Amino acid sequence: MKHFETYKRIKEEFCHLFNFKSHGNTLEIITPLVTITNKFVSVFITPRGDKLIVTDGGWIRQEVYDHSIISDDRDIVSTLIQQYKKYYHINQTSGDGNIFYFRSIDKIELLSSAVFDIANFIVGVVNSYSLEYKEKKEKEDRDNFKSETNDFLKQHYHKNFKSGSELVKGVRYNGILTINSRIHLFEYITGSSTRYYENDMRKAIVNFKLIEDNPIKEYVDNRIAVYNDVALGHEEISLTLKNYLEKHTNKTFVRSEFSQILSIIQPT
Amino acid sequence: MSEQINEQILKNYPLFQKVRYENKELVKNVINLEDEGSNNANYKHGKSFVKSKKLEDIEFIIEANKKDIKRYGFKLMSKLLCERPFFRFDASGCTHNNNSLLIPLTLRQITTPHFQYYDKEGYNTAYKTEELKDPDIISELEQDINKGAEIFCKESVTFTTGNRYPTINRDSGLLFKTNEIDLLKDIKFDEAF
Repeated sequence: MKHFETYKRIKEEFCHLFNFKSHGNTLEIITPLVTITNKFVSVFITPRGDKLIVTDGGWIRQEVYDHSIISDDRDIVSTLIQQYKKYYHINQTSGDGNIFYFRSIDKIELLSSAVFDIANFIVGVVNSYSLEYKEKKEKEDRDNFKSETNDFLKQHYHKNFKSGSELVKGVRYNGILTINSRIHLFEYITGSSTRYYENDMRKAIVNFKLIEDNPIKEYVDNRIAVYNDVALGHEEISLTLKNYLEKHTNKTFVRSEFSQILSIIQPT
Repeated sequence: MSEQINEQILKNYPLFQKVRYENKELVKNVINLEDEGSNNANYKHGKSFVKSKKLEDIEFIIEANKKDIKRYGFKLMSKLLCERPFFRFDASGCTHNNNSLLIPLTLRQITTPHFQYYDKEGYNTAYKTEELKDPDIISELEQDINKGAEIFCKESVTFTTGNRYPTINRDSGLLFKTNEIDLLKDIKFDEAF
């Protein structure tokens, strides 16, 4: 193998993957970098006065790379994105109902470096949104339990029930039921192993405890834990944790006895 | 993560092939794009059922960006076949990577406009027809969603009665009628957070 020829061939083929498109004053550079969602990364360059803005064009937020920004693992993903922003020196702004990641430069010598960093940033972030953080079986079991519980509650309480909602900023409950201005909070407990099951219990404890110092607690009638008693993780949970959770809930239901909820909270 | 291999299509590949090339009929001749039914506030949405001898639930779905005339796409979907669209066209947007061990690097990159389907290994694969490599045709379909519809219908073998193409009404809400518009022009890029 002739090294220089081989190197030249590889370099040319990589370079062949660069492309561009014009959008008015904005230049789109199609780069050779790809995401695990099978998309090539585009970086946008647009002038602002005597500066050049190098940006993702809002494509991350708009899910253009065939990724989803909504996930159960948003806490993990959020910390990853903050780390990527810091490492690649990326800023963020909003406009037109969208979020844009960008860097502003004032010297043409710094342009390629900015394109390089933004492109790598986009790869990191899109991949972070797209990776599986739980095993497939765990994800499927979890999604099924959530759907079943949500479907049951929606069927009986209709629009009074909202799944995956925030009551106070930054705290999302699996379900919030509002009837005659009284609030009932739901947290679902499931897991294909003791670890996942106990994580759900811890999350429920924290979420229910957070209400205690908030004035809205005057309107909250019930803090309800719904246990998936057929999940594998249910078998060996820590009694200490269970007792602690029960201190912060006033009602508990198990999956095999969903209908009991209806006798406690009357549908209108 | 979106699965690398579409297991559902792989299991049903002979059926997928038959549906792909079968002469299918769009129930609606005229499709109006509406806000309702769209998952994304930036897009309008339209659809028509498709008559097929092989599958009874095929839908032809249109998504069109409200501001950018050239950001639109068409999909054929059947939940009986698989969860994801089994054939699609994107007039513009991001570039696809054909992530196959058998394709040389330079041929893996497929810019828009392009079609996407699933190959016999179950991989989501993008490609251009000769029309989609022609700059004049690209320019025309970027300006006119009905030209895009014509191209999609021919390639997907989906027509209205009388072997014609549907008329898509994009409505008067479209803000920009030229593909030279700069979509970032209203964004300030202040050092925010």
